[in-house]
Amino acid sequence: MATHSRSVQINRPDANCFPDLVSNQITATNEIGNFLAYVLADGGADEGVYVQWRVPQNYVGTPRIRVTGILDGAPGAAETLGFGIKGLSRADNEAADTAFSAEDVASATIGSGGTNHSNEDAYEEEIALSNLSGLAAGEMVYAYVFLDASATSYAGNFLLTDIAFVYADA
Amino acid sequence: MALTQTADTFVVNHGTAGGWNPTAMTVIQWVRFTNLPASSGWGNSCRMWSKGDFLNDPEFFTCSARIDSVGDIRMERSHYNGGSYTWLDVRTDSTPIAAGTTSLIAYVMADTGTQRGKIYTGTLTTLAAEATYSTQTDPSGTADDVSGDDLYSMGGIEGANGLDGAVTLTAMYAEALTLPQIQAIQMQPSLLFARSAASKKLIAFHGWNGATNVPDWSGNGYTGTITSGAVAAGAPIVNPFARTVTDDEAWATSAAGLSVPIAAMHYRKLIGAM
Repeated sequence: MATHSRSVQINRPDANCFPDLVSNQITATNEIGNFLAYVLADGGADEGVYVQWRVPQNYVGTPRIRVTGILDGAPGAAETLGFGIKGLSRADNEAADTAFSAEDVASATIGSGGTNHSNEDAYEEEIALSNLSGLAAGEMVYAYVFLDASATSYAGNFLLTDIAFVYADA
Repeated sequence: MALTQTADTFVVNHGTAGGWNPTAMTVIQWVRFTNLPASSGWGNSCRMWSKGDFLNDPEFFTCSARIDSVGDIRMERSHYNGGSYTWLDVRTDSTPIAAGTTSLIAYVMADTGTQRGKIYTGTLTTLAAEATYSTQTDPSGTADDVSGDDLYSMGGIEGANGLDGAVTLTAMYAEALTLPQIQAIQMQPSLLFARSAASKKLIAFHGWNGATNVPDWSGNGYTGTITSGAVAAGAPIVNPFARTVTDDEAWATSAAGLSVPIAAMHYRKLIGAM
């Protein structure tokens, strides 16, 4: 068994998240400032992006989502950063207009009291998919990945650069 | 994806846009007219965008643009000069907008210098180029203060001369972009977002949030309120947000919801499309 990771397609942001130059958000002195990222702010409500991916043919199980980005702001010692996902997996001839699953969420203490991240650090967090279930090889997954306001006390912005589907094969 | 009008009162209003009073600006739109305005004359023209009074005085726009019955474009910005008004007034004479053709229009103006107003047009397959003009008048005096006026990203209010067609995108910047910069955005929509925070005033993809409202993805959050508008098919430009696809199984949707060929996806990878 091996673990694989595939970046998923970000289809569009919701109405509150927006793409921006990294240099507009952090004081970048190197080339990272020339990249575009999605700006997720904990404004008291969830905000995020709509994503889609086809489940690879060698998929067997242990599905997870890995959220990757850059911290914009120094986290306090006990501040937390949480993300969530909800969605559905569809095979050919299944009803697409179906309610999304309940949320799968994860969070971490990212300051010195936890993972000890600093301002402008790269950051990754994984969410195990349990409510978003029934994935099968070849199916399309439609989902909403968001910064989970209820699990986030971090006051800075999160600059989202990638979302990956992580899974195990046989 | 786009918006079209359902009644003569059609507008998309983004509020005062933080009290923006343009001294230099660029507006980029993707538009497609089913029919150009029915009646001739600038008084019957279709309003395309405005920072200023859009509803109450159709003949007097402080900062706005419109399209007439033959497909010419006019952009204006009023100035006040010691008791009288003068205008930055730019009018094309080459009828660059045709019914049935998806067109990019870039309106550029600056408050200083000469030839302060320029208009560029292109299509899905033709790079934007500068129009020719019947009028290209520079104003004197100080630009009217429109900071308290509302910003409209689209709308036509002249009855049969309103917007018989659709607008896919209205992007507004507080800087005068150059033609190469406009061409780059035309061919790689993700570059819409790659300007400074001070420059980006509005990035509104019409119809992407249905007829509920028009989100502003500039980062400013100037959500547009829709009056008498409906979702319509729009310019089939590549989804500007799509990114990080999964190699051989990649697929994407265009703004019109159509499949994008794999070859196009590879092209987007090559040019670093977001």
